[in-house]
Amino acid sequence: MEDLNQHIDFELAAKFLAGECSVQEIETFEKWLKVRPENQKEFDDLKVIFEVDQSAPVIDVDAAWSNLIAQTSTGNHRIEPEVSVNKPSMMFYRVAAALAVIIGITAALWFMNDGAMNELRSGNQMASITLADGTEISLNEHSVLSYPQSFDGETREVTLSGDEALSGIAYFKVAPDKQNHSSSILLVEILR
Amino acid sequence: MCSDQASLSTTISNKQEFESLFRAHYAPLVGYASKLLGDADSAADVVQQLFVNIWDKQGSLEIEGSTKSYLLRSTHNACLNAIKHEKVKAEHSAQSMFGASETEQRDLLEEEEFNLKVRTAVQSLPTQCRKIFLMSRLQGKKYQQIADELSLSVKTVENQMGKALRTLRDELREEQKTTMRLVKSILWFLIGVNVFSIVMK
Repeated sequence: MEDLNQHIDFELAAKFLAGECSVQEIETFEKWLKVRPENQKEFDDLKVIFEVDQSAPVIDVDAAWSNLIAQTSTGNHRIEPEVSVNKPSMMFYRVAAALAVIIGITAALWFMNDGAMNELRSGNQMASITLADGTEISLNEHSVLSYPQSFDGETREVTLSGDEALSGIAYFKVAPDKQNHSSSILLVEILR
Repeated sequence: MCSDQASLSTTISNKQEFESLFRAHYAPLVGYASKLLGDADSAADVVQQLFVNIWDKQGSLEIEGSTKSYLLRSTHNACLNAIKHEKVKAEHSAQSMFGASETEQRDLLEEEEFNLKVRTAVQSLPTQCRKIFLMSRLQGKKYQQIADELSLSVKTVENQMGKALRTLRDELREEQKTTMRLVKSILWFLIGVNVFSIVMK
C-alpha cells in the first residue's frame, strides 16, 4: 500500500472489513480510498461480497427437484405444462435490435451484390413488359424472359428461353442507351 | 448467469425445460420468500407449490412479462396468502415488504441471487481458506481466536482472509465476463461477415 495508486490490498481490505485493523492501518487504508473514485468503488464491491450473510441455510435444489417430481408424478400430471412468454426483457430488446440492424445490412449488401434476376413466363398467352431502361418487350406464348431489376453495367443483358422443348420468341423495341452512346445489339443463341 | 433472458415466444413444453426453469429460479425465490416469511421451511413450501401449480396448468398458463417477473410476482403473492391464512406465524415476517413496489421486489430478488452466487463461491474456496473465512464471517471470531483454534499464525489468517476476498471477487467478475464475451463474439462475427461482403463486392 506504499504506492497509493496501486490496486487494492486484499489482506488489508479484509482486515479493515473484519475490524482487525490498527489505528495506523485504518488511516493508511482510508487515505488510499480517497486517492481516486475507482478505489472507493473497488472497495465497495468487496464490502458487499464480504458482508453477504453466510448463515442462510443452504438451499438444496437437487433435493427440491426430486421432491417436486415425487409430488407431481403421484397425481395425473402426465400432460406437460406449457408456459408462453410474451414480453421479453429490455436486455433482449437491445440485443435483438442490434442483431436486426446487422442482419439487415448483411441482407441488403447480399442482395445488392447478387443483382437478382426477375423472370417473366408468358405461359399460354402473350405477355409484354417494359424494362428499367425503357425497352419494351412483347413475349410470345411459352416463352421465358430473365431480366435484371435495373441495368447497372456497361451492357444490358436479358435472357430469352422457352418453356420445356419450345424455344422462346419475343419482339424487342430497344430503348437508346443513355449512359453509353454506342447502341449495338448483340444476340447470342445457345443451341441445345 | 443471465436468468432474465426470455425469448419472444418460449414454450415450456417438456420436462427438461421445466427443470431448467426450476433450477434457475428455485433457490433465489426461496431466498426471497424466506425474507418475507422469516421462515425457510415455509418459504420452500410456498415456492414448491408455485412450481407444482405451473406444472398443473397444462399449457393454459399465459405469462405477461418475463418468466422471472412472473415467478417473482407469484412468489410475492403466495407469501402474502400464506400469511393471511395464518399458515405462517406473522411475527417473523417482514411486514415492510408486503406493499413493496415491483422495483423493490426485484431488487430484493436480485440481492438474493447475488447472495447465492457469493455463497456458492464460498463453497468452492480451498478448504482452509473457506474454513477461516467462515469462522470469521459466520461465527464472528477474531483473527487471534481463529489462529489459536487452528494453530496458525495471525499472519496466516490475515493472508487467507485476503485470499478469500480476492478469489470471491474474481469469481463473481469472471461470471459476468463470460456472458459479455459470448455477446461480443457474435457481434464480431456479424461485423466480419459484413466487411467480407463489402470487400468481395
